[in-house]
Amino acid sequence: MTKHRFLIAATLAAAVSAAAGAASAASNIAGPVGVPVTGHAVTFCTTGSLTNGTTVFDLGVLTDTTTGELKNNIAPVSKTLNGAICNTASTINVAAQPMTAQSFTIAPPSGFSRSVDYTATASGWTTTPAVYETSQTTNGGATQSRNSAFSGPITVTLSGFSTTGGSTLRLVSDPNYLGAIVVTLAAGN
Amino acid sequence: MVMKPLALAAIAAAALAAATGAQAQSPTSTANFTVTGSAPKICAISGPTLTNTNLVNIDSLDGTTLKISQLTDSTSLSTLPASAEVSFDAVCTYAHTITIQSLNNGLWRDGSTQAPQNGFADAVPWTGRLQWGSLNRTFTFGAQNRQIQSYPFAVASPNAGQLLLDISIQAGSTNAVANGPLLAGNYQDTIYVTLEPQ
Repeated sequence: MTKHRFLIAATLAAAVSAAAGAASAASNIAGPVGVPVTGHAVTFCTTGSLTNGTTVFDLGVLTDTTTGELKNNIAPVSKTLNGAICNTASTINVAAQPMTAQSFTIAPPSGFSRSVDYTATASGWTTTPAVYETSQTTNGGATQSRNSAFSGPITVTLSGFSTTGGSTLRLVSDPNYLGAIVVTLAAGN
Repeated sequence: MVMKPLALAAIAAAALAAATGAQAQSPTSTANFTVTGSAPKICAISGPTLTNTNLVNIDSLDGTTLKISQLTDSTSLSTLPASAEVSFDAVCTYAHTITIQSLNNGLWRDGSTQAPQNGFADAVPWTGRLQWGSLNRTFTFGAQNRQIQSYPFAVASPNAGQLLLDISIQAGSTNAVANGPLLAGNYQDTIYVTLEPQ
């Protein structure tokens, strides 16, 4: 790109010079005039898109129907963002909210919980994946940096599901437990 | 000539945006996901266990059969007192109804379907107390008639823990006169404890 711009600049300078030469027949010689041509590539990042599937991790029934406790084998299929690009150094951040009952909104009775914690991991962008645990108040590993431009897939994985408040608590019945995950790519580090 | 590379750049950016779903060139880009699931209405109850509370004149809890040591007084031939507390581990994840049902409405002598005769009784009433969360209710299966008798109780919220059922037979209680003699035989009742989401 840099060479190409130089060539354009030379061509333009020649054109301008030729025009100036034509004008010189009727007036004093002026020029040559240099016309600098510059460009700027803006920094940008995109998380790309899912090439298949939806953005919803649908876990189905969360509880063991014989105990009312959270299943201990919840392991949803990962989702992959393809076409993620940052044209400069960047950071990746993952943030998540616990799954909470959307209909049962009051405080749960003793022995129950209305929330499920989990760990959201965004891997593939940085050597160390970005990890967010919804059970933690601080998540030092949620943001990871890389020092160069990069293009590649980002895999988002959910794991480590646990009942908020302790594994012996039961989940109150609710048709919709809902949580959210946000993966952010940002230029700079 | 100057415009051409700009145009090329714009086209490239547009193609990139189309390929990746990005809305515009920006130094920041986000991808949003949701995670969903459901917790169905569940009620579950374990088998009974015998506690040491109010344990009077009880031989054993054999599986699901509570055996009374001695139903009649050897002198009066009337009913001896007996009581027991039975515990169940239980859970309901939603508002629910708990129902105590007696198959016979008391302990009835096997094969007996007629009213007692000649001053003898052939059925023994029993009273119960149910403790389940904040619910604490008493009830009586009076043995007036041999029939199914049920007591449903509504519980407005989920509950989990020990369900306690106290079973008590009063001294001298029969389906005839108080302190009347019982006809010889095997007396029994079947109790159903049911938890059902509303």
